Amino acid sequence: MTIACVAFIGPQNNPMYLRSLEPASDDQYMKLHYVVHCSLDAVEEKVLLKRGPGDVQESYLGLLYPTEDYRVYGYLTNTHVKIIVLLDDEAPVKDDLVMRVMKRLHNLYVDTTSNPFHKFGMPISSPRFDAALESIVSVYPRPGGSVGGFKT
Amino acid sequence: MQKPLAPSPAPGTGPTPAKKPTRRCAEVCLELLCVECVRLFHDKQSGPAAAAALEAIGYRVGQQLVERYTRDKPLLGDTLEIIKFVCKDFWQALFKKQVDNLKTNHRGVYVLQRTSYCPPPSPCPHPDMYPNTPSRHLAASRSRAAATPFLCPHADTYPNTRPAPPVHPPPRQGVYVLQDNGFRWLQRLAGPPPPGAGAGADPGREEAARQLALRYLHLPCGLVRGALGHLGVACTVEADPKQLPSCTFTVRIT
Repeated sequence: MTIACVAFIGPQNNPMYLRSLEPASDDQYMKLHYVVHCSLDAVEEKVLLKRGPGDVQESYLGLLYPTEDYRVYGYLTNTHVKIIVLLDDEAPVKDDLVMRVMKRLHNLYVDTTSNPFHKFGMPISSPRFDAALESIVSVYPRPGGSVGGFKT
Repeated sequence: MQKPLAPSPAPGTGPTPAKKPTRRCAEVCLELLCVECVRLFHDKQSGPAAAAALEAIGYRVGQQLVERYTRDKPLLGDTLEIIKFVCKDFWQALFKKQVDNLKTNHRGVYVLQRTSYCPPPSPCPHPDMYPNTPSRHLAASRSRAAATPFLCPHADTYPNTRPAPPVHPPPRQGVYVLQDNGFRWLQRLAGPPPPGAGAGADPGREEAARQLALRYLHLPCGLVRGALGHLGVACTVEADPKQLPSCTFTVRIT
């Protein structure tokens, strides 16, 4: 089980950040964009369905939908930023593990927005953000790496 | 300036355990910074420009703060929940107390009052709202309305049993009034009451203080507007220092 791609989508459903964790060609990036784009409908659906009187909805939305190659997980912040994570479709995944990664990605986003040079709603381009994201995602074993226990 | 705000322990609570260092900042530093900001902008620019600049700063900071403060909260649903969040958690984090009083006009009431009101004739601004009405119908009603000026232009499409729909966009905006008796950032301005004088002893002095306080309220207004705007509630915020140090913030949702 590996994370294939991480995406941050802004409040107006504008892509702010999309990164494939494996080297990918333009075509593959196109495909990832497509999968993430489709997942936005699923996010809206989840929010609409779960909303009842007296209902408390968590930010973590869980598995949005499986595709042939990926499993798509979603997370929605209070400021309407969606975090989409694509997992390679191999072995079953523990839900709380994904949730922990999502929380850490959210924390990273909050720290990034506290940067006075960050513009809200604009694409995120920061080497520090890239590095921090990699360190979060590396909780999961890389394809060539050992399939040992997870660092948390 | 958003960093020192987040972990703001009350002064004099004693040192934190050494193993868990938290970032701290004396509150007075922040107050001085705000005061200096206001002074600087009012020195450099004239009234409205300075106000806009200060509000823009507040807006930006509000956005960042709300991003941080809502991090561990479950999803906020409707507007009221968001306003409540601002009144409770946001206020607590910024001003160390909650809003004392929150009033709202439940916007439905206003619409109900509108039902008996037949607006003066005007070209229908929303032809797409009434797709079933043929255009000639509208034209006819309009010309008839010109002859009898106070007839509802939609009287023929909507029989008497139904109230006329408002021609102007219905007042969907909600108004929320946040009252804080003892706004922290105005505490210093209020000063002690003049000795041996009752309320309103010196209206001129009070008015001067009020005008002065207005300058310092652009920043908090921007903060509130930024917080609400970032949570998806577009609004305008007006502050009114009635009796220092109490202050009311009027939030109009647009």
